[in-house]
Amino acid sequence: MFFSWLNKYLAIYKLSLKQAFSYRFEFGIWAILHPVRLVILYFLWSSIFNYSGAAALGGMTLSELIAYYVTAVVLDTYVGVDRRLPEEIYKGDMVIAFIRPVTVFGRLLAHELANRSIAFLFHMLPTAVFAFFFLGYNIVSVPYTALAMAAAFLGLLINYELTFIIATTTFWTRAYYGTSTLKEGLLYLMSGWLIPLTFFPLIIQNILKFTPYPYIMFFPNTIFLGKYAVSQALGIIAIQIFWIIALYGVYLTVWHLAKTKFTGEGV
Amino acid sequence: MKLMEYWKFWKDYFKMEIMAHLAYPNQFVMFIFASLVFSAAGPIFAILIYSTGHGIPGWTFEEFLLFSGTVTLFSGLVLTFFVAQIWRIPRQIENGEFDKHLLRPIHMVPYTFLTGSDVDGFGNIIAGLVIIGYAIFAGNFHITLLSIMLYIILFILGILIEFCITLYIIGLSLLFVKSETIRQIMDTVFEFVRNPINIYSGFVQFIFTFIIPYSLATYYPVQALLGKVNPVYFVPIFAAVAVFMTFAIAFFNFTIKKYTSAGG
Repeated sequence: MFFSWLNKYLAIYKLSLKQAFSYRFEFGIWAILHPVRLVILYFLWSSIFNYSGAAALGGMTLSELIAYYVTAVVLDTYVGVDRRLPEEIYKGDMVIAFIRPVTVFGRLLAHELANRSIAFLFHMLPTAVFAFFFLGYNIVSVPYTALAMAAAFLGLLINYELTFIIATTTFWTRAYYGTSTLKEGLLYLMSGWLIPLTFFPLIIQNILKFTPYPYIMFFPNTIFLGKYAVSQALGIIAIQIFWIIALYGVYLTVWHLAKTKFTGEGV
Repeated sequence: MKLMEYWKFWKDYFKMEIMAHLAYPNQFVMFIFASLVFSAAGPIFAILIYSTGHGIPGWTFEEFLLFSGTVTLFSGLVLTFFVAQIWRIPRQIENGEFDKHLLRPIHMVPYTFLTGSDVDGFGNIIAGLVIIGYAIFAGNFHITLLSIMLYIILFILGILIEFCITLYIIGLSLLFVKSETIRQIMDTVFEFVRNPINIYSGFVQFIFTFIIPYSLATYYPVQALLGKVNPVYFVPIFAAVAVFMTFAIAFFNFTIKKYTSAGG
């Protein structure tokens, strides 16, 4: 029973993998562009550190900060559901989606994971290799890397759920570009993409800990840097699991309400 | 006379663009708000790096805010006027819809500029002006009429450079049809001038001053406003701009001639 359920999503994953593979050139271009962006960040932060003359800023040394941005590039916060779900809603594709023997949530997640797999191969991994040779990027230890990878995967699930819930509002709004941009803006500022959250005043850091945002980017990244004891890292992973369960509950409620709102005009 | 015709053409097109966005007023308002959130990134970054260290070499906090506001205003203006063409026209080329534009009784260079308006930049324009206003108020800079004029002239030249880059990208799309990656490359190039170019090596500074004079959009206008550069220094930069623009227009015209329809 479980395997037949899993097989359906595996089939979607494999199909999406093939589709994503046809865009390998586009993915590959990022293997060049990401290193260029990292070099820009390197120049920026080197000049800030040299000018300040401090060994650490915001609780991070220059090499840790560079490693932080490299990992941020490797983690990436964009999830494809942000575009696909609203498109399916306003193009009327939901009519077919509702009669498929798979859930929309699961299908788009399988698609997301396939895209991430290709992105990992064609731009994330080459970026990490470039950073290893030219920017001194390295892993702290194998256990921390394993913990960080688990946290990164859970962060991706949180991001996916959050985006899916927000994108579902298209059933009511009929358009999504404003909501999407606002969501991206908040993610950029609050997940640690713009700057590590340790640069923020303590009160803001503490407030952000009660939101899902830092668990998408900041915490997986700082686990990778070895900033916590193993027990603390496990605590962060436990909170991530809490967010995944909580957001899944929100998804079920919002999706149920959305389905009652759906009319399928013109079918 | 021609200018009046262009103005009317642009106004009508822009009005249509606004009407299209107002079809979903809640999303439009939310988008403007979201643009303000994104625009806050620059000042937030400035506050955080100046509160934890000495900030960017050669720039006080207020000067860096002025720079950040100029970057935001620049992004807003080019988004409002023509940058949308970077993704609109390549899509039309791919779908075979571009051919109809060639039948219009207007040259393709002004046509590209006049039909590129979008409301996406409104939030950035508002935020940019607010940040610049605050920086000037708080910084108490010594600003002269000459420095203001230089700021405006260099800023407009920066916008023209961006337009030339848009022409290059569209030109490459006309030649190669697929152009998504070209746009990504240009976005990355702009990343360089989102920071003051004095943080880079001399070679990079030279590239963004004389080869791709993109720093005219952000760095040099602010330096001129603050009176940190001798105006004579701009003479060779103006020459570099003239060369860059001449090549851009020539290349665009060449690609228009070479264009063969992608079908539809």
